[in-house]
Amino acid sequence: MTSSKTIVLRSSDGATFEVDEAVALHSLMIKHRIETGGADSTTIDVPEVTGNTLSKVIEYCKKHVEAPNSDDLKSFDTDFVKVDQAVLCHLAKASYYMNIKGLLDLSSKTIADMFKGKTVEQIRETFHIKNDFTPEEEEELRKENSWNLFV
Amino acid sequence: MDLSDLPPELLETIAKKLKVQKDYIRFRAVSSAFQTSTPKTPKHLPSQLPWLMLPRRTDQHPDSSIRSFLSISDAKIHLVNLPGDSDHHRRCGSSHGWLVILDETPCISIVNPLTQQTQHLPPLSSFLNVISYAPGDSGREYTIKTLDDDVYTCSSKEMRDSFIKKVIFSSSPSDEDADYYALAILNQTGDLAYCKKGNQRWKFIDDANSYCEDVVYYKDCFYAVSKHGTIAKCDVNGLTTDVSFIETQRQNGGDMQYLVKWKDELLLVTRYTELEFNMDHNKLDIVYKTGEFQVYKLILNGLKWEGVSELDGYALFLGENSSMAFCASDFPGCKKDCVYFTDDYSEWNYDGANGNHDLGVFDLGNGCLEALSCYPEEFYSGRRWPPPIWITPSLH
Repeated sequence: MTSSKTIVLRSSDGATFEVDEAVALHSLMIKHRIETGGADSTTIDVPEVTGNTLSKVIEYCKKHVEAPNSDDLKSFDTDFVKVDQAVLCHLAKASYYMNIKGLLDLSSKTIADMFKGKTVEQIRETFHIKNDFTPEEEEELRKENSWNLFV
Repeated sequence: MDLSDLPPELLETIAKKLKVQKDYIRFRAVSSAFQTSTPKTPKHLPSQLPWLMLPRRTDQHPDSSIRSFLSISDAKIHLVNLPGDSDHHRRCGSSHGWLVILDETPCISIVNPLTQQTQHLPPLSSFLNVISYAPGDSGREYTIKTLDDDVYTCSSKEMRDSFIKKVIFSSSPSDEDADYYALAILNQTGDLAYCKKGNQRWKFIDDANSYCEDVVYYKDCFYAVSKHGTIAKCDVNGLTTDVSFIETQRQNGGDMQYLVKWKDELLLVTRYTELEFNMDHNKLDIVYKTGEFQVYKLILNGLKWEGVSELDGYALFLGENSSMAFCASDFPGCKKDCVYFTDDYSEWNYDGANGNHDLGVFDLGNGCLEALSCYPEEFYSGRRWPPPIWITPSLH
């Protein structure tokens, strides 16, 4: 596959990125769009992803397509997800919508690791999540896990 | 951006990356978005680090059915109601998160303490060598025939305490889509017997007599090990039972053998015990105390067991439970390259025996044996029977 064809990806906020087709195909969503979109599909809209995030996603795809067997791929991945929480969530969401399995696995595992060993309250604090259970629902939860795994 | 804004399928993907049961349950309790996007029964969870089911408390009311389970990760004790539990029950196995329970009747029940589901296995009276069961004949309720055609009688208590050594399952009885096999190791005769879910009787595996030290389900067959480390591979899946043998070079020494599935291989673990004489209140008790373990892996080329001095970061859990291996780094609080063990030599564990339990942690790397640091001596020692048992807490 030595095609030098390029694809333009357009983010939700109008930013455009020119990438090699091979790199773009790393996203199964884009692959599907190209295959079903006809010969003129050189610009693909990605409305679920902002420019900042799309730029990072492309960086990931580039590395994984151009150097899939490189020795530093693992450390690339580790460093890639050393970002703040919000960016990490954006990456997870983007990889989900764009159907990029490797990035989805990497980002979701990194998020999951942040849950390990934390109590429910600590999780809510870390991720700024509001407790929206009613008192009755909370009581039900407590009863279901009556061996007290909540503490 | 809030995690709750993530699409439900993505929340589920994240939740399924959690390997520790407690973390998964807490994830679901964070908010309603987290709860509705994840399945209540975490079928993706791997086997969890075992809890130690403690004996009944010395100050426990006889009618109370609450049992204590010690989690070694955080030294916490979880209280679980085990319906119908009493002083007269004995566990003869713990496998896939289910306990196998015997009492003073022929009934063999199995229960998952976390889900409270219960099922039954064929009763004690359905073993072919049990000729009759007469509940009225106090002290001689069971009549049993040996291979040499001798006949002897056994009381309900003796039957409960020493007929069955251990029962393991091929798969979880919680799995509604699959039928499990149960395999029982019989103490006195050294026989293996099995049944399939729903069977009325136990069937003996004729050629496997004396392969009765331990058994493990591995690659769709029951692998049973003899005192000398030779293995009988029993395939019970077909219409007839197929038994083949792995004639390894004979192992000598040691008091008990265990077989464990470790990563994708089989390990042989030999337990060495010493006799201790305790003089307590003018009563002489002879108790066994474990001195060390030796671990071997199977070398197929030449069919021998080769000693190993470390477990690649795994920990083994041995006793009356189905022998298990866990990757220590997956579970906080679990020491690597160690053997966590409890009592399981039933001839020395009977109702009325005294003395402390033989349980602890053996470090394979430095050969040191320690007591289990988080074991709550206060309420759970003194009575030797019934001993604690490892059980992997399982919600499915």
